Amino acid sequence: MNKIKYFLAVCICAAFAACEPLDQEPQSTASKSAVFGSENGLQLFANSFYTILPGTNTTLDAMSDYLAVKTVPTFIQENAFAPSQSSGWTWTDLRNINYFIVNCTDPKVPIDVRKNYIGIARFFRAYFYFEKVKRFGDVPWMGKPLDINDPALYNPQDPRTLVLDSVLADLNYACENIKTTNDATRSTVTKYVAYALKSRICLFEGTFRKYHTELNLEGTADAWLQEAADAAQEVMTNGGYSINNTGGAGSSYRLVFTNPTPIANEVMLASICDASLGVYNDANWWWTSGTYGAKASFIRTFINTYLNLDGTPFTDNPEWPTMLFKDEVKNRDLRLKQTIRLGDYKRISGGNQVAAPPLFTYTFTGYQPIKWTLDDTFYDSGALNINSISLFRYAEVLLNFAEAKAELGTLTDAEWAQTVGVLRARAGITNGLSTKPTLVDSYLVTNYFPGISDPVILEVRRERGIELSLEGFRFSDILRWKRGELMQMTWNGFYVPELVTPMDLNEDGVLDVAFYQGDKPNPAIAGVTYVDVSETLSGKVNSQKLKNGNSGELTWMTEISRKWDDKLYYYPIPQADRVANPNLYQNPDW
Amino acid sequence: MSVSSDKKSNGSTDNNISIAGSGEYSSFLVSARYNQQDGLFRYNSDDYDMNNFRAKGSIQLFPWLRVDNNADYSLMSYHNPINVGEGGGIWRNLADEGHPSATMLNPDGSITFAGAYTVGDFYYGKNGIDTKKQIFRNTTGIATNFFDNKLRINGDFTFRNTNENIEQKRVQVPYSTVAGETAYVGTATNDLMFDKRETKYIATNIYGEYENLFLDKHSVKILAGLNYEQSTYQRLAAQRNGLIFEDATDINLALGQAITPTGGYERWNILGGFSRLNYSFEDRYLLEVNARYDGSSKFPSNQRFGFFPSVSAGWRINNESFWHVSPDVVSDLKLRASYGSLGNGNIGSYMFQENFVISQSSLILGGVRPQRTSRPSVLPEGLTWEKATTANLGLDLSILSNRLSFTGDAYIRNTTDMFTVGLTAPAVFGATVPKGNYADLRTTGWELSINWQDKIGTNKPFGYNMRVTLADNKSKITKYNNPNKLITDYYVGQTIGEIWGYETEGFFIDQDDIDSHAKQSPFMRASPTGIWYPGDIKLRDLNGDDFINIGQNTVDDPGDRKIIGNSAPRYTYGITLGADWNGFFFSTFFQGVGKQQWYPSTEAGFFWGQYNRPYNNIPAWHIGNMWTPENTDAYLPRLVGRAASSSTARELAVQTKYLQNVAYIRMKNIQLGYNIPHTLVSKIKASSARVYLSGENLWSYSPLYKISKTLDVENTVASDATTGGTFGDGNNYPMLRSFSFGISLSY
Repeated sequence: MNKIKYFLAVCICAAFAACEPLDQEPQSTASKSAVFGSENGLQLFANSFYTILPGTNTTLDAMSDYLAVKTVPTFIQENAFAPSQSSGWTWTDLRNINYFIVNCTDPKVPIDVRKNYIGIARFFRAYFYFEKVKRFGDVPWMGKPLDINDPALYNPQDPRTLVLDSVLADLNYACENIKTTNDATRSTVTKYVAYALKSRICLFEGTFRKYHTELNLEGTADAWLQEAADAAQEVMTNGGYSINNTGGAGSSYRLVFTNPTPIANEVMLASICDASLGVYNDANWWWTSGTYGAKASFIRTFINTYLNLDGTPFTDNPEWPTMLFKDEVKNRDLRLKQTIRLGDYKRISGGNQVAAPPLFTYTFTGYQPIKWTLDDTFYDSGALNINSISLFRYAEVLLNFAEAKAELGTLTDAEWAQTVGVLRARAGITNGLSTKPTLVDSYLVTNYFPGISDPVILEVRRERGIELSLEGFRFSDILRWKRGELMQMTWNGFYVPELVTPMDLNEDGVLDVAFYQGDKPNPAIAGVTYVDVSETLSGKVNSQKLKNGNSGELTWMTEISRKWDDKLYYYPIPQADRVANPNLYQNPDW
Repeated sequence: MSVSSDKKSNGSTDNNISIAGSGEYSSFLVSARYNQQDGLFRYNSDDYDMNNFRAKGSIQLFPWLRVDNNADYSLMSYHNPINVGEGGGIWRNLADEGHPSATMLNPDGSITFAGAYTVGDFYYGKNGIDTKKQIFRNTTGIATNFFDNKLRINGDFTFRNTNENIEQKRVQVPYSTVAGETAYVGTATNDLMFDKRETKYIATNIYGEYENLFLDKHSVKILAGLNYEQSTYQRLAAQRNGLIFEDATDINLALGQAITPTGGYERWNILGGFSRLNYSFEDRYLLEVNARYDGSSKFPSNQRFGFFPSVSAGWRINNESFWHVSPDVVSDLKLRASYGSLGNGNIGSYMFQENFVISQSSLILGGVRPQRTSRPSVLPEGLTWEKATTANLGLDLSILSNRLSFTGDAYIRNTTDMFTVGLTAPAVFGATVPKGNYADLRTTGWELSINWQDKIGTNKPFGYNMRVTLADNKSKITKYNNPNKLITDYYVGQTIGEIWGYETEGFFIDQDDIDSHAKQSPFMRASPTGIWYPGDIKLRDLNGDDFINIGQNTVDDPGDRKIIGNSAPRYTYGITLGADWNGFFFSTFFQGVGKQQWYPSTEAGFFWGQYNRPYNNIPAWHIGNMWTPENTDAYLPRLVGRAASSSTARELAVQTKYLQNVAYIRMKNIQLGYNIPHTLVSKIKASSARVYLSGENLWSYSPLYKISKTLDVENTVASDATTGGTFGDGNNYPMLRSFSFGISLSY
């Protein structure tokens, strides 16, 4: 029996020698104390905030007054949008920020280091809430991550004033506590980026309150405008930025959008692309594709706002309505040729330069954007672009300053010269750079801003539209100016004098495009794109037509009614979210 | 011209060999199997290889002690081709990018752009994921017995090492759009990845058993033991881009700066005690009591252990003294009943701890793509074992000299503390609602099996048999905190699998019809412009509010939806038929589902064709079956691209007309063979030999086939199911028909 006992003892020991207690700790993830107990840990966490920014997205203006696109966005179609289609009521980024702010309390990390990172977190919280307020108006303010049983989950919205005051507090904290003043890579948030965001948000709120009189907050507008001007002034005085002029007249503007590394004197923060690191954007694919992108093109009404080189309005010439594309683009603000295909614009294919007039497989109006795209066709077939996408740049700060001061009525000639003057000088414009404008351009008033009689405000708005085109500001500018009706503007293109006769758009002696109705001209001329502008195409309404039937401006999708209604100043709260929280009230008239 | 990239048929081989022997005190078995299956693709074929080896032996060291050992090893290798154009997974990509009329090659033999983007990548043949999986398992057991075999103490120890090596290669694919000029697709990837995963698992059991018969009537068996299991997973992966040439196979030749090393670790362990008591009285009354007490590292320490008892009883009526029926008529009649619970702790590890996952940022910050972390998942308030308590009643019956036997069971199972996601929280919560023990579920079901076997004749008898099994169950939610009964969450009273949808009224006939009908805009759209045309689907305004929509998305206000079907399989059955005569043998096996419904999901391109994506293939059955002004009785509406490819707003949203009946019957197997007579076999010194011909999946029928024959009824599940994809239905490895011919020899 001893033998047996001995044997059993060995068995049991052997079998259970491998046992260990049932407490298992994860090894491949970090603990809370590791993350919040060192500056490296805080940096590690703060890196997650950056996905809140729009990144390498170059399509933010796809819904705007100045772009004609493939299909009319449902939002601005008459009776087409409903709360069931709404979206954007997502709050995951906010929880991440709030979790950080609430837990960044470990005394092992020096207080000023913690304040720096909390400053960065509050920068992103302000950014987050700004996006929410622009979209929905009133939203609930949450300063901490909520527990699943917290009744506050079922709170209704907070008033706009409460939310914006909280946003301003976040911005002030960020401006005061972020320590970095200069990041050479232009990829992380610095003190001056925080000031730039402050000027952006305060300008939005100041003008929104001024023009949206139905809110009864006009009395508070000037304080916000002053905050905007002061924040911009801080960047202008101490930031060390300037407008890029390298690359030469006619190129220095576009270089800011197409250079692989951010142009550091002007770009304040960018989303960086780099082939070696495997990060790309899809600008060429989106802007130069028949199916992937929206085939977005500028409308003629907007292109007309680009000044002549001598600083006079283009539309002062009474001949403009029937001017041909090849002629109307001459002698204009040099930003025009850096924004759309015109004149001798060339692309590169297989190492060779090739003429690149507007191509009617990708454009409906003829004003085909190139601001974000690279010239080499290599980049067209996928997300392959290596240009870094600017998110904050100095030109915007200058325009924020000029507009805030113009709205306050305190913009001086010197400040005009320092802001709009500098931008127009880069654009090759020769007059009106040093003194504020005194003449009202009736074209701007008639087509864009009927209620505005101050020439300074009008010209600042013109400048903002042109300088910041396609950078994602346009729709929110329209909201804060309360000019939603602009979204109803006809999507018009260049002037076509007659049918069938091919046009040479870039004057290189090669015919480019012809418009016809019914049967395609036979024989067709090689290299010419033939566009059918009949009333109907195979029994259905043709979206591409001419204004006067067989001549006139091109038009696109006039058959779809775009209808502005004041309820569109805010998106509706998505239906599913009001089901999940019935205490949320719907925005007016939705 | 189009080039097809798939083959109509492919080959496979399967070889087995085994050697076994035994002596007075020992026995052994060594066996090996090699199975190889050619892939489906003509280029860059997805070949599969499986090798198995097993060695098993036992030695009786002493009359009271036996030692067993069982070792097996397997090596699986699989090549999964991928393409570097849009998306990587091939099955899904067939639907998305497999354009039916695109040309793969240019006249000069170079690949076209459309080709390089899709199947031309296969033709180029360099991109894919190679998986090698090795499993080595060994179990050593000892069995002892004492006191005339009344007391036994047994133990075993198992270890299993699983090594998975995954290598992924994504090089750029050349194409040409201008003669003589070469460009590339996939320049943004161009990388190699090596991924090594190892799981070490050990398990050990030790238990004692006491068995005795008292007074020749009372048979008692008691068992008690301990069980411990532990599993440790570790991973190390590295990926780097910038291959200097397309045939590079080592990561040293990747020069890019997108370098991604990834680690991974998980360990769980469970410790449990188990016991069983069996008692039977004269083999008439049978009683079994089981109890388990289990603890798992996956649960927090205060909720770690669960106790799971069960009891079952049987009554063999034909052994009763009052039973006077001849055993030739009724040979067995037994009533069974049981009640008990089992625990399920099969959840992820560390779910009750705050874990900060570290990964590489997709953004460039400060010149690098830095590591990042973010807030941990929200923790559930508590976490413990899910418990399934089952009450079962059964009957076993054998009659007519065992020619006919019947087994039947009926049961009710209550699953309590079911591990599932909590009620959807308002979006301001800002996180995925934690999973926890939130629901209770009741399943009622039954199973029965009938077997008939007989022989006809005596000299060369014709033997035949038939077996039918049939089972069904249905589950309902009995507890879940969803006071408003949101349809998209569980709710009390919900039958699992229920499908909510609209009722199809027909097609719009003309503009008057559109104008006078309840407004389907703005909730639904039949075209990008939001305009409705004749031939578009007309849905019934069930709640009479003149709008078609989802109401409050609750059971009480579902808008114009109702429960139109159920996706859970009901009445599953199997039929086996067999016969043998004079050395010939035949068998066949059918299986099927008696009732089940399926609504082709968004992106189910094999069903919806161009109603999904306008550039998808057109299934042949669509031809002549689409609404046109001349063909208003068609099954499908006016052809509109993407009418089916969005989950809510489009007109082909879930509705009665397109709900499919996916009940089916399938002949899984049919086999015909011959046992070669011993007189012949002995000439080659074999003990037995047989030849056979076998076919798999040769025939199936489903009501679905009356509508669509473009996909197999059993393949209507989510796309790329084997690789975890959830996008679209039916884009999967196809159901293969196979024929095999085999010879089996024994010596």
